[in-house]
Amino acid sequence: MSASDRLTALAHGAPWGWIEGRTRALSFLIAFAVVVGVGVWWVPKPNRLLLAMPVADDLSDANRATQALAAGLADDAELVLLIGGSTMRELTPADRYMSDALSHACGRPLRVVNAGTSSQTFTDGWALVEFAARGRLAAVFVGMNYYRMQEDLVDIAGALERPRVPVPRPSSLARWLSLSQKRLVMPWSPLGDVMQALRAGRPESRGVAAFGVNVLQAHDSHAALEPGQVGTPFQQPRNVYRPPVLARAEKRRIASEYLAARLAAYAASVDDATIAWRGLADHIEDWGARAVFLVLPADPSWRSVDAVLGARFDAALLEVAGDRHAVLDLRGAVPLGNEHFYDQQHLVAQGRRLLWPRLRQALIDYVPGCLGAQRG
Amino acid sequence: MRRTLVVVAAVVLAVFLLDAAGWVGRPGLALERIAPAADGTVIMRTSVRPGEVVMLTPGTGEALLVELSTRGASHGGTLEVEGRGGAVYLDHRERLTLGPERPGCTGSAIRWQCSALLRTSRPDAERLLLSAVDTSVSILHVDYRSLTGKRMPAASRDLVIAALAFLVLAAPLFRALRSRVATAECLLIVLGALFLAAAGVMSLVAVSGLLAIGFVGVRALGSAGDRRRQHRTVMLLLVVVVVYFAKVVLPLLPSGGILDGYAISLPLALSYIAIRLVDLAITADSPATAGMTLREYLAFMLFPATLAAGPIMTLDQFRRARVDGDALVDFAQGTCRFLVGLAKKAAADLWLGALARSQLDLVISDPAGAHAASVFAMLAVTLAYVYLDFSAYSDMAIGSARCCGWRLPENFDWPLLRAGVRSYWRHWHISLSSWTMRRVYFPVFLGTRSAALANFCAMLLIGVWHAPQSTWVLWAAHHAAGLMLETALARRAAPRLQRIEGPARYVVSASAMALGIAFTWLWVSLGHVFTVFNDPSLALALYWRVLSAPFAGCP
Repeated sequence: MSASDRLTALAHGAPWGWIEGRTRALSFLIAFAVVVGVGVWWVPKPNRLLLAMPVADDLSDANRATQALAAGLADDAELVLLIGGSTMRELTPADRYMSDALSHACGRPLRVVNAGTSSQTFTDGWALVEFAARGRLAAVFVGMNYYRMQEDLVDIAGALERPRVPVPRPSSLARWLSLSQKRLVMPWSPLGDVMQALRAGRPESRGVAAFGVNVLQAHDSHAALEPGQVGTPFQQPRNVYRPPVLARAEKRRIASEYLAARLAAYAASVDDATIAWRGLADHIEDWGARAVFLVLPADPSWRSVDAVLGARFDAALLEVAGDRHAVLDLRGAVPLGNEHFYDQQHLVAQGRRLLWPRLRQALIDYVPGCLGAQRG
Repeated sequence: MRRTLVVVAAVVLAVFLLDAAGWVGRPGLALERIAPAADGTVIMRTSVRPGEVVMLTPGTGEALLVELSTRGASHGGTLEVEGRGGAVYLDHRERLTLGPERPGCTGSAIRWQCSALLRTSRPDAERLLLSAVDTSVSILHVDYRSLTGKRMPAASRDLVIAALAFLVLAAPLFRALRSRVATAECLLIVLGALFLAAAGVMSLVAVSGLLAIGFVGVRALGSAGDRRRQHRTVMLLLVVVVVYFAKVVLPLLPSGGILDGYAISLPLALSYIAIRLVDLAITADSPATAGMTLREYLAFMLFPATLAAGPIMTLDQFRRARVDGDALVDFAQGTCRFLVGLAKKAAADLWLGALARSQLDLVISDPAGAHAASVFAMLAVTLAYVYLDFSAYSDMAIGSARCCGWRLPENFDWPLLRAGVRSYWRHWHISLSSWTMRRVYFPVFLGTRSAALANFCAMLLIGVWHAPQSTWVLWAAHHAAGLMLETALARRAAPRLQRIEGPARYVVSASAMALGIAFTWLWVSLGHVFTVFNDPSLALALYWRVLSAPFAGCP
């Protein structure tokens, strides 16, 4: 026997767990069954996790949104979920503020969660909705603009392998995609979920894990504002864009850049994106909630893009909504001008304040059971 | 000897011709100029011919669309842009700025050249855009140099793991069918077919074609008599044609219809089924193979545990694998082995894979400037990742099969702790290396009396079995050279080592073992330069850089 053989013989039984004989086999299987049983009991219950975990101030965008959503699931309120990119994140006042207003207007406890995150993919949005559907989901408001129509089915399937929000893989999306991709898209990724949980254990993701959310408080308080900042519901730590806004000339340049940089992607993907959004809307309805597509307002400099893409975008949205889902166009709903947008799409506090009454009315009009209950 | 040399030369020539034709592993490139029309309502798209200069003006919405046809592969390489005038934005997943005095660029506004690292992830085409930043720019030349490329598999990691895990769950059923061989084989066929179907319609079609050729061919061989050699040659050629059609030609066909979406990914199980068919063709006239029924043939070919990543079994090994052991012990051992594989896979993907990729990106972004030490470090990490990843799949396959009562042959036996390349090859991908030894090395050696040629033929088969690329031919040459070098050194050193006695013998023996393991790591890592890079000139340049100056670049 060579020296290498002697060395490796020491570890010969390792791959088999040194299991020899029925006693060791039974012991191993019992221990394994216990671990699996605990996992099956623990994993699907996000609101069973640690209560004393401190709220982390340095959460990433995706973790913040997930934390807020999990807090909504934990307190068993009816949920109104807003999904979309950073434009949606910057669209609304604080979640608690919206929740109070809506609950008062509708005469029952409602929790509004703005889960808009920077560059949110379609897959992330679907994952958030499926996660929210574990609770009492009343309505989902989907923020729509040209950026949201730039993923085709290949991009959507690819994004399943690269999740950015720490919620479980959306199995309903995987099943839906399997029909269109002519091969099985796995509805569950055990290894992927474990790896995501391990990645989420890093300090910057403190308090948030793949199988659920540890922290039960939404990071949405006034107390965390920077010194000198006015504490209002219209300027929160999650709001990245603040005055002074970009100059008009700069905004026009961004619009021209968008046409150059995104136009080809938009044209190539809008048909697939239409199918995908329709699929999500139908699933939202199957989960017992209402899907509303919010066309997000944009800076006046965006008109050059509207001239090229507007008609096709409007037609796509009508096709998405069909006769089952609602579309609410916030473009021109209130007189938002250059001073209300940081760039071509992200509102600043002044713009949020101006838009809020219209948005509040939209929430009341479209959340089931609230129509006509205009108190407060 | 002459016939062997002719066959080897033909194979090598065919591979190099495929490379030269750009059929293998090279993405296609198409350029299109896009711009809004004067009234702003229509988008104009015009094709750009090779060598044509494209002028871009900022603020007008003009852009140059670069479309890379990835042909079912994921590529890592550099986008090379040459221009005159101001800077351009490169929009892909993120925005880069290329132009005079920018990172990764040389030259001035009169003429500049830039090279940007670019990885593709879409199986059909990757699109990126170039647009002017703030002054007009003329784009003189755009090209993409693919330096690493790998076909995307139709079966994802999650699908493979789920299929093997399902087998673990189905173990009680197989145990209950212990005495009903026919029913158990039917169950194997059904599970294997479901696995293939889950991987996509092309996997099912390609494998069905191979299986049909195989069964008809083996039957014909059994009754061929004197024409057996011609029949065998025809059957083997058909197998090679089907496999390489799926691997090389399929991604080049226009997409749409049945080839739409992920159907251009590499079908599942082709290479493993092909090698089983080759073995059957070789043993077709033996009584054991002649007595094989269709059911047994399908169960052997579609054995679900081994479809994705082996181990490779012969028919004889398949028949002997079904052992009537203690069901409880088998299930416990199999489950443990499966979990070990899962843990290794997680470790490989979470840490080593990311590390290897980041190291590779450093080399790709500046191949000419990469130090030998950093190239070698990247190769060593790649070796560790490949071992952990591949052995993980083997562990899961062996474990899941054990749960069901099948004892598959081991595929890895601590190969990276072996002293020397010869020992390494006896313990790495054991099922393939031992098969190659029996079916290629020994017949060639007995026929030609040339160990060098026999080594090269064996390595060449393993290389082109992986991929029909010239870099794999170079890989084969590298390993064949390593085997010959080690044999020559061992022949000289052994008599001297025998003469050492006493405690010094143990010291020398331990030192020899340590040196041997170090040599294994060095030689095998170095060989990975040909598996990582699909550009042979770059691979050879880096190979020589590491071989000739291994310590350059160390602090």
